[in-house]
Amino acid sequence: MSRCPNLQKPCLLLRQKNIEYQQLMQVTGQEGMQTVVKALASKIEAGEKFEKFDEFFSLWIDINEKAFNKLFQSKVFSDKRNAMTDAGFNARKLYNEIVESQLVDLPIVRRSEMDEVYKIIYDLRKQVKGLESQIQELKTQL
Amino acid sequence: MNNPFSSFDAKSTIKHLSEVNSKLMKGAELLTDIEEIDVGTAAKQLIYEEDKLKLYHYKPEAAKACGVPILVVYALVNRPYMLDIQPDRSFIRNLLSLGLDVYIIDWGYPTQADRYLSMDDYINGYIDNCVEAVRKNARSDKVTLMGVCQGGTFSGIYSALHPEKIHSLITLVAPFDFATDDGLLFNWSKNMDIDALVDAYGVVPGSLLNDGFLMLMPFNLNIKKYVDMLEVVEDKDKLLNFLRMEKWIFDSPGQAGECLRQFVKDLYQGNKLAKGKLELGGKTVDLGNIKMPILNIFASADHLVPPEAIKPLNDLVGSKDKTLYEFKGGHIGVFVGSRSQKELAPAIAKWLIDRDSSLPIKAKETPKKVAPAAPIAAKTKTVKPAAAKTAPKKPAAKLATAKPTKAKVKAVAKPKAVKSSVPEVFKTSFKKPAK
Repeated sequence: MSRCPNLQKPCLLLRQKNIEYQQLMQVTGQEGMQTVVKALASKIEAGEKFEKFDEFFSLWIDINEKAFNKLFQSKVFSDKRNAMTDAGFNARKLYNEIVESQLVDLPIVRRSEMDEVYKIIYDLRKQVKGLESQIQELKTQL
Repeated sequence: MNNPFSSFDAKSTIKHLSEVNSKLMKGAELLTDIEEIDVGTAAKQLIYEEDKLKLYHYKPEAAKACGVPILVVYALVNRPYMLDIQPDRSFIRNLLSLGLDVYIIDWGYPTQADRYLSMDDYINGYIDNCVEAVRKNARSDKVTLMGVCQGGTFSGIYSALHPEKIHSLITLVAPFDFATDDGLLFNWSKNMDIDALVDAYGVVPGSLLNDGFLMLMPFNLNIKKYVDMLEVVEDKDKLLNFLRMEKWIFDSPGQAGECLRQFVKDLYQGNKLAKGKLELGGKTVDLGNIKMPILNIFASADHLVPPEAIKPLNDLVGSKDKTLYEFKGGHIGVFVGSRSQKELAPAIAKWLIDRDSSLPIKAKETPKKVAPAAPIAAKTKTVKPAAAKTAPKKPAAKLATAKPTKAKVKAVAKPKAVKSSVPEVFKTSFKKPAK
């Protein structure tokens, strides 16, 4: 644990943000179910029946889809979702760094080292492609 | 007071459950029989490849009706075979059967080695090289770019940077003005920390983005769709149709991190393209440089790219010949919907043929079919009535060509007649360019 002192805080933050996000989803789900129950109550009062299960299923789907769509459009959802995902991405990034630090003494190539290689290959590819097109242009000029 | 479920008596419930079980059994049998979910079956030939990209040329299915080749640029998200998802619902086959010469870019599946690819690499690199390959293969000075969704945005940027190579630009459900908060994706992307995402993954997994897409309609896309599947599970053809779409939906390539970073930062968050401030390859992208004819297609019920993000393109370009086409449907319905098969491809073919001066008129009037393909009768039927009445106003230079444009311009002046006689409405924007 001494080699990964910083992971605890980001993980706690992720857990906190995830709980806040899940709470928002759960409250919306509860509200959706309450609306379904209300719709059922009004059907009972009106003496209406569901002839098929599909009718009830469609009602349930439509009400919940609307409830969640309304939530998803809101700024509070956007903020909570972004806070949760950002915390997740940062925790992952840190986790990768910690895993790498644990592997540093082993005879294996690490992601960060591969990224260096990828960057060099990317730059070289670009150079080669640039030179190839220059050669092509010169050839057509000749 | 009645119980609304009182009609659900034990007998009918058992009968219903028995039917469901029977369907599931039959479906399970069919699923084990299905060996391959075939998609993208239109015949095509590989003509160019670079890194993970492949450029294909579709085998013509009819006598050439348009001399300018079309290069289809699909989005980096999901796979381009959606345009040829199955033989009877194939946007590509419809274009081919109308005599168009079609090429398509397959971006492939980026791996970590591609994490540094930027928007500049995709647009000034890959697309430019594909345009060159198509010009060479088709022996044509110019190509028509047909961009789909993000591929349409890329095509627009490319056309602004390299207008000399582009005959005309067709954009399908492609965002250009990202200021809108209408679509959930636009809303969510505004404040996301794209640096954290890209730095965490390098190449962002397609499944991660797919989860976001599925959240746009959580109950319909994650529950109802599979319950509805029970209706088709006993029919092998219908089940295969369903499975093809499922395959496409979950076949999501990863996204090259640097490209995604710039796309989100500069477009979703900065709206730099519409503002004329996007920098690419050391140049500022000025959509006003787009002076070639453009056909901008949007879907009225698009939940991924709202019309408000698409329509402003017609005010941002410098073209005089610009057409805004409304398709009444959703983002995917534009390509795979049954109405699309009958209407959209013929409308596009008509629009292109009207603007093509490379072939004699005789060849353009009746594209002769060589091989049979999907709904033929509907296609030819739709093209012809649209021919005289829906073409947009053309610049003077176009009127001088040997094409029957006078009648078309006249017809545009009578919008009521247009509405009553054609199934889809061609809307022509005559607004002056903003710049």
